[in-house]
Amino acid sequence: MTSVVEFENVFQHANGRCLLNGVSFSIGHGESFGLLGPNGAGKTVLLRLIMGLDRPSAGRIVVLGQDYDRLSATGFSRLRQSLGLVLQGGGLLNGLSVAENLILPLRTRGESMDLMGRRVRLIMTQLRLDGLENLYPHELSGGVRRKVELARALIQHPKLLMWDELLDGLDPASVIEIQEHLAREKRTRELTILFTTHQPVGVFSLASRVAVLDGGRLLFTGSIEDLSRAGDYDPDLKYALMGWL
Amino acid sequence: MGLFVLRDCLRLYRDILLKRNRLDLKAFAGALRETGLSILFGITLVSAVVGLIVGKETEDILDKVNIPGLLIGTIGRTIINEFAPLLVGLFVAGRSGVALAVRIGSMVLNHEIDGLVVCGINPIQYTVGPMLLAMLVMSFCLAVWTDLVVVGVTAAWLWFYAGITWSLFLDSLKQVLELRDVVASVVKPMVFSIFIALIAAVNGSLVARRVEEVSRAATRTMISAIAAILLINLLFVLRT
Repeated sequence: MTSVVEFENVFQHANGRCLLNGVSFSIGHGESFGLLGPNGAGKTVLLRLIMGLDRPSAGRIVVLGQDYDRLSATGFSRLRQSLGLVLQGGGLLNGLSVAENLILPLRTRGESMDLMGRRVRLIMTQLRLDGLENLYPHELSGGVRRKVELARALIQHPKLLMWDELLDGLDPASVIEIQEHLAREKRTRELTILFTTHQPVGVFSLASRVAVLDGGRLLFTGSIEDLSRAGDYDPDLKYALMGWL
Repeated sequence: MGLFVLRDCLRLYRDILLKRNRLDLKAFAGALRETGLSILFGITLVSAVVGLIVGKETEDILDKVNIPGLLIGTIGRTIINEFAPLLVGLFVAGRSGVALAVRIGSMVLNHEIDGLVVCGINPIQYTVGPMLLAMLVMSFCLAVWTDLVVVGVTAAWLWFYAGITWSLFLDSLKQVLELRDVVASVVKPMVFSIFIALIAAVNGSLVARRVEEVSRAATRTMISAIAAILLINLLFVLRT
């Protein structure tokens, strides 16, 4: 299985704090990888590094075969067309309508307005967002916003979808809908998914492999079965997972 | 950082001219409204008031020293060369510069900038790019408008209260004003606009996590922009 994401001994420091402490892991093609950890564990920091929003203090990151140490700004822009990110706490442009927000990632591809319009309508139908085209982000509920953010991340058919704090603000029906949609995307387009969460309830069914991050350190990487066993003999992991398993 | 912003803006305009990119018309229309129409009433009012004050003062001096040609020429040149560009610069800094800093700061806080980067779009395209273009267009228009209002109101006052005819007024101006003065009076506010936009962009981008930083960015932008305007104006004065 080829790697979509590879982290080698990655460190990230900011304002004198160590946000990531020597993190190494890899995500294979077509995997659904869950990154678990409490608030402040460094999950968002890790996603931002993959997306190229921040540069690591040290270590090596390779995404879709592109080594970030050798990637130019233009290279990053091109790579981002193969990455989709649903950010925690927004990312939609408040001055643009839902439809205009969804078109944004397609703009750099030079597609015709007609084709872009069709793609917007299709993704909106698939995620049951019909009728919301002309609304603005501030007019949407938190859950619907998350779905629009997902739609924007998926509209350019990314090879890797990253979702920060999956399930946050979503009702159970939306979760099922999204699970089904992502399963379809995985089947038809071999989408690789990386999601983070601090609420593991219901997440284990989505992940084929998980990692546990706490205080910037990666405590565990493996299957969910291995995770429950590892928690028995690793006190740090047990403490991090307290109440989860 | 300001230079990077300017470089990206120039690249954007080049790509728009070469039809490799599109100007976001919605953002541009909003920026035109913000930089021009929203301050039109204020700048007209201030220009008219200044015109009245200058007219009254000139009338008083004319009662004592009867050399209207010299007096009108001096005052007219000062208005067109110095006062109108500075007034436009200050209005643009106060309205557009602060608005741009606040907008970028809020977009950073709301992760909108991240959202654009994630979509593979340079945020300049939706922030400084359209705003700077609108500021350039509107600075030019406002400079011409301010010149006309201040000079027009002054001339009207002097015609009504001091009996200075319009032809004498215009002849006096013609004697002291050269083409380069008139060009400088509209170019100066455009140069101010470039600096205002860059100062606003840098201050807005420095917002990191807290809402208070947005208001700080606005204040910093206002103060820095005024300082920059005065310094640039001084350079213009020293050069001529």
